[in-house]
Parts: sequence; structure tokens; C-alpha cells
Amino acid sequence: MNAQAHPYASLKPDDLNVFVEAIAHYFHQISAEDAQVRPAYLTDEDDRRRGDYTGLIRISGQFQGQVYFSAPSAMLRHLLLSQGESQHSEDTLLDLVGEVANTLSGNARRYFGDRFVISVPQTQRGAPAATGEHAFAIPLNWKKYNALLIVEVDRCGA
Amino acid sequence: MQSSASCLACMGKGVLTSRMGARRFFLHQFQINQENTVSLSLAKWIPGKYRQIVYAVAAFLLFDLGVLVLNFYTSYQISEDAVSINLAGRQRMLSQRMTKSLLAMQSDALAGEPQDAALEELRTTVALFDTSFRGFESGGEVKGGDGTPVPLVAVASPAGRAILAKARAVWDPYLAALQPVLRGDASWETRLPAAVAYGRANNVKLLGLMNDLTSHLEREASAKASRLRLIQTAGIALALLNFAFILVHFLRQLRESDQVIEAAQQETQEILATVKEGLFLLGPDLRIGTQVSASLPGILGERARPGTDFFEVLDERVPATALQAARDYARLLFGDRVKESLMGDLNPLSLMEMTQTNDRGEPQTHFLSIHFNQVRVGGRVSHLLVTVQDVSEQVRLERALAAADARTRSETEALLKVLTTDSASLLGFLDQARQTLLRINTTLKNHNSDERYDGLINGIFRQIHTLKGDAAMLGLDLFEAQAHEFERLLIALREQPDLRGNDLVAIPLKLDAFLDRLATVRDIAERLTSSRVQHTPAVLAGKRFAQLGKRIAADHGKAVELAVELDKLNALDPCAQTTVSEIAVQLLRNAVVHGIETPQQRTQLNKPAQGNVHIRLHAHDNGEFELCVRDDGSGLSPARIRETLLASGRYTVEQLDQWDHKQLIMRIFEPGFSTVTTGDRDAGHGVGLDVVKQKIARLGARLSIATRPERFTEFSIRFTVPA
Repeated sequence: MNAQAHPYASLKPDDLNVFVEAIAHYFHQISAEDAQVRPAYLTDEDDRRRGDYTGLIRISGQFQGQVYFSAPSAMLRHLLLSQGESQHSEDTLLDLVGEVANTLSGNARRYFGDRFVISVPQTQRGAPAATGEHAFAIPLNWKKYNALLIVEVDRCGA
Repeated sequence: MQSSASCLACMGKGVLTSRMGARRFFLHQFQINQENTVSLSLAKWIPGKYRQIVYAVAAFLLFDLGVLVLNFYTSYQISEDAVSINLAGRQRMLSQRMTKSLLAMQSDALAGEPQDAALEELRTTVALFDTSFRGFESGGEVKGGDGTPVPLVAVASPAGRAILAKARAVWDPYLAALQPVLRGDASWETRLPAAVAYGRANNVKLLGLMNDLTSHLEREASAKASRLRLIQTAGIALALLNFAFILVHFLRQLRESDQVIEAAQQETQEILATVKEGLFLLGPDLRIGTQVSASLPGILGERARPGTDFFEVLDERVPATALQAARDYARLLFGDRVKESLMGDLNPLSLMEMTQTNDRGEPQTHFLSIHFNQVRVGGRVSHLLVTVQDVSEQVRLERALAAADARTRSETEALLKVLTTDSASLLGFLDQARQTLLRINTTLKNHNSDERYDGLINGIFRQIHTLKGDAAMLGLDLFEAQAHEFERLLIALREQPDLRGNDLVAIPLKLDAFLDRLATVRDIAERLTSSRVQHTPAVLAGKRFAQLGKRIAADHGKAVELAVELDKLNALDPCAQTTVSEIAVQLLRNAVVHGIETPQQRTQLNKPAQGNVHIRLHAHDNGEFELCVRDDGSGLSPARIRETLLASGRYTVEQLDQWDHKQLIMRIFEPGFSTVTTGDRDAGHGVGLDVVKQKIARLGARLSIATRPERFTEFSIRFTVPA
């Protein structure tokens, strides 16, 4: 499926769902238990303090900003365990969120085509600084843990 | 060639980068090909490029004809010269015969024999010699060897004339001496010896001169023959050279011309293979020409092939009347006097909508633009160049632009209307709306994963509906419309079975857009605040209710007289003012939409066409306030409410049977209850009275309802406010 480019397009629910479904699919592949997607909301500064590790992609083009997945370290360790991975070093945790970012990037490229220019996936401790005014948080529950997918984009020139 | 050169120049300038350029180029190429074809068929008129070859062939024939004429002339000359030479030779013989005859006469005279035979021969010989001599001098007819007269040309050369002059000098005395003998005078016998003596003396001389004449004529003839051969050889050589020129020059020219035609055809093929438009020529029989662009079948379908009737190809896609009009239009364009530029507007196919199935068998709407251009050859229309373009994307973009333009205009008008609202009320609304939206966002954020989503949706719906009511009360169409859009999203979600978390992602997008607009309007409104006149809450509420009542009545085809008495509103605290106003808005909406009948229905019921709605806030002596909203409409119908509840599937017949009318009527405050089947911005979502119930609870008020079918409905809300 490829989104049709349109000069007057704004961010649509389907656009957000591309990222949501990318992550849900990732969890479905690596774990026996699916991640539960909870209602999305407009994010605030409080959300930025939640995640210990973040995998992100930066986007430019018709929209610009960033999309990232932030998760607590306990959730990531549990995920590694469920994959039979015994190494839980920080690098391994960053690799894991990097994998998620890579999934986000691949799906976004397929869906948005040339509407978005998507950077290579990046990882970091904590959450990145805000880049724009419009940020949407989509909480994901997996087992007892809560992770956040943040889509933070502004229209170019907005 | 010139045309092709200019074509190449066109390509060099990048004319082909535009679609129209490609079409013009194709037309140009076609005209070149037509020109070549036509030139061949009109060769007899010797057009410019063939003039040279015709001249060269004519020259070749001229040279050949010249040589032929020369041959005739030469043979004539040779024949003439042969006569002269023969006669000159005969003169030699005649000079000797004259002498012989004279001597024979003298011998016969001495022997006493008759001399008649010799005399006759002498006469003949002298006459022939003299006639021939004059012929050589002046030309004329002379008796030939066989006795028939032959033309003798006078000797013209000076050397010949000199020989003749010398011979004349010998001949004249000789002839004078012979005359008495030839005439047979009486004394001829006495004259004979003198003639014989002159003959003997000059015989050899005359013979020599005649011999010289013969030799001279032979040399002259030989020289003339040599000269003629030379001229003949030159003529043949020129003819051969000319032939060689024709072969070399014109074969090269033909080869070059063929290469140009080939290159032009190659370019045409490349254009036809590359161009995105469907291009082809339409003949007077309205059939597609032999060359079509590769994209044509893709645009018009596989039937669009060379030789097929173009309008039959369109048959399944274009309505019959439009197709006939298009056929007539094309036929009209074939008229030589018809100006294409004046006909463009009449083209019924300039933009047509058609449905085609794609590879997956799904129907897809396309917009095609078909244009016809006359192709003239020699001033006559030989073909129509047809250009078929798929302009779907262009049309969609134009429509999107028009829609965006209309939306922008509508929003600008709405924004201007917003800015004319009382600034304090507007700012109050903006604050309150923002708080509502942020509250909704907090609800979303704090939503417990164990809770059902329909409860969440209903909660949001109530808040948005209230927001819509507030916007409507203030006449803020811009926000009312936005809230209505939000409601539509929530309705769609509410009706969706098995809601999941990611189905709700549209909600924060709506929140974000709403908050954005609130911020924008607030920014503008704040700048205008200082210049506004402030009104009391009661005055403002009165105005807003009047506006809202008028708008809802107009939207639903009702005629309503609204009476508002809200003076006591000023006595309430701002929070209670807001809550009372919100309740009144919902009840007003309910009264106009559900209560008041249409003017026709009212007339049939013997009621005034115009309905009445009365909103009144009354302060009782015991400190209680009472908000009454009364309409003289159809009243509440327990039967209809029962029917709606049964249809909703929420209650069984047994449950409904247990309730009395009062209990049934109170069910109208349940979320999702509505007696109308289609929702609009004022009713049909089953949330208005649910909001009223929530607000009444917030006020700690008591509700009572009085109603009588076809007469009236009155909602009465009694409450107290803290001292």
C-alpha cells in the first residue's frame, strides 16, 4: 500500500497507524504476547521522562519531526529474556530499541514513499528533546509494562 | 527538407518538453510526410525540388535531338556535295566530249559524210556543260546523270569561285566560237575550223580547270564532313555528360531525400512511442489512421486500434447524445471553410468523465480530454489530428483546489463572524473550550486499559456536545462546525464493533486541530478585546438564544417565536450561569427540533403556523431558581418513546410493559436515546438530554416535566445557589 501524495494533505489517522501497526507487528513477531495499543493522546513533557531507552527516526519532507519508541529498561530486559537473550548490557538494550526504530523506518518508507524523507534509525538513553508543537503519544502495554510511541511532526513551514 | 530542418531546430530548443509541443511536432512531421506524398502525385506540375531533374532530362533530350538534327543536316550536306562533285566530274567528261564531237564533225566534213549525228551530240553536250557551269556559278536545277533535274548549289568558296572565273574566261570564247555551228548558220562549215582550232587549243586547259573544280569540291566536302563529325561527337559527349550528371547528382539527392524522410518517420515513431497522450489521425470516414501513439490503447482501451471507427471505440463510455454530438462535431471540422479556432468551445469531448475497470477489476473514474485539430493539405482538410489526454489528476487537483478554496473562504467568513462576537464571551468560550479539550486529553491519557472504550467515547461525546452547544449559543459557527465534525468521528467510533486502541488515534488529531484553532482565534480576539462594549450575562444570553433559535428553526424548516427572560442570570455566579445556559441551549435545541411541528403540520392541527418557545429563569421567594423551557409543540409521546426503546434493543417488551408513562418519558435522558433516525448538528445523536441530566446533577437541581400530546412540553429545573 502506498499513500497518495497530495499537496493539501495533513497528518491522517492512517498515517499514525502506520507507526502503531509497525510496532504492534514487531511485538507480535518477537513475543508470544501481543502488545496492547491504548488510546492515543496529545503528549506532554511528563511523557518524555518515562522511557529509559529510545529508538527514533527523524523525518523531513512534507512534514518534519521525529517518531520514536521509548521503553523502560525492565520491559526491554523482559523482551530480551523472552527471546532467549541472556545479555542485558546497555548496548543490547539500545540495539533492541534500534530494531524497533528500524521497523518504524521500513514501514514508513513503504507507506509514505516520497512524502517523507526518513533518516537512518538512531538510539539513545532517555527521550529526545521536543522538536515541534504537535506531538501524539500512543501508549503500548506489554505484559505489565508501558512503552510509548511518540509521533512528533509539524507541517513544513507551519 | 526545410521543414525537417526546422523540426530538428524545434527539438533542439526543447519544444518537446511540453505536451502541446509534442502535438505540434507530430502535426508538423505529418505535414512533411504529406508534402512528400503530395509532391510525388503532383510531379507533372514540376514542384521546386523536381525542377532540376526535369531540366536535366530536358537538356539530355535536347542534346540528343541536336545530334539527330545534325545527322540529318550532315547527310543532306553530303548528298548535296556528292551531286556537286558528280556534276563537276561530268563537266570534265563533257569538255572532252565537246572536243570529240567537233573533231568528228570536222572529219565527217572532210569525208563528205553527213554531220547531223555529231552536231546533235555537240548541241546536247554544250547545253549540258553550259547549264551545269551556270549552276556552279549561281545555283539552280541541272539535269542529273539519269536525266532528272537535280538541285545544284552555287560554289561559294573563293577558291572555287576563282576556278570558275578562269574556266569562264576559257568557256565564253569557246561557246562564242561554237554558236554559229550549233545554230547551223549558212556559214557554219566555214566557222567550224575556228571552233575546232579553239577547242584543240583549250581542251586540256578546260579539262584541267574542271578537274580542279572537282578536286576543290571534294576537299570542301571532306572538310565539311570532318567538321560535322566533330560537332556530332561533341553533342554526343555533352549528352553523355548530362546523363552522368543526372545519375550522380540526382541519385545522391534522392538518397538524401530518402534519409530525411526516413529520419522524419523515425522521429514520428519515437514521438508516438514516447508521448503520454493518445495521438492519431482521423480520416474523413472517422476511422483511426495507420499510426497511433503507443499510449492510446492504455487510455481508450484495446479497441482503439488503427482502422477502427473512433466513435465506436467511445460508444460504451460516452452517452449516446454526447457521442452523436461529437460525431457531428468531427464531421463539421472536415469542412474546408470551417475555422478550427472558432469551433473549440463546441467540442463535446473536451472534458469527459468515464469509468474503467483497473487490473484488479475495480471501477475507476477517469477524466479524458479529447481535442481535434484540422490537418490541411493544399488548403483542404485531409485529416483531423486527435489528441486524447488523461487529465484525471489535473481535474482532481482542480477540484481539490476549489474545495480548499471554498473551505478557506467559509472558514474565513466563520472566523470573521467569530471576531464580531462579544469579546468577553468569546474569550470565555475559548478558555472553557480549551479546558474541555485538555480534560478530554487527560481522560484519554489516564484511561484504564481494563475499561471499555464505549464508555470513554460517550464521555468525550458529552463534553464535545456541550462544547458545540456553547458555540451555537454564542453563534460561533466555526467552532460549532468543528465540534460537529468531532461528534461525527465519535459516532462512527461508537458504532464500530470491537473497538481497539489504535482505532482511537483520530481523537488526538481532532483535539490537536481544535486546540490549534482555539489558540489562533484567541490570539486575534485578545488584540481586539479593548475596543469591545461589555454586556451583562443576561443580555448576552438573550441575544445568543435568539440567534440560535432562529438558526435551528431555519435549518429544520420550522417557524418559531422565541421569548427569553433570563434577567435573573446576572444573580448567579459565573459557573452557575454557564451551567444554566448550557441546559437551556440543549432544551431549546430539543424544543425546536423535536417539539415544534412544521408550519404545515401545525396548520393541519389547527394551531398557529408559528410555534412558541419560552425560556424563563425565575427567582422564587424561598431563594430557589427555576429554569423553565416550554414549547407549544407536539408534546412527548410515551408510545413513540417505547417504540424507540424497543427498536434500540436495550429493553425487552416485558421490561417496557412494566413501566408507566412517567418512567417511559424519563428514558429520554438516557445516553444514545433519539427519536430521529438521521443525525445532524442539532439532533439525532442521543446525547443532548444526557448532557442536561449531567448538568442538572452538577447544579444539584430537581427536574420536572409537564407535557400534553399536541399541546405542549415544559421542562422545569429548580435549584438553589450557595449564599
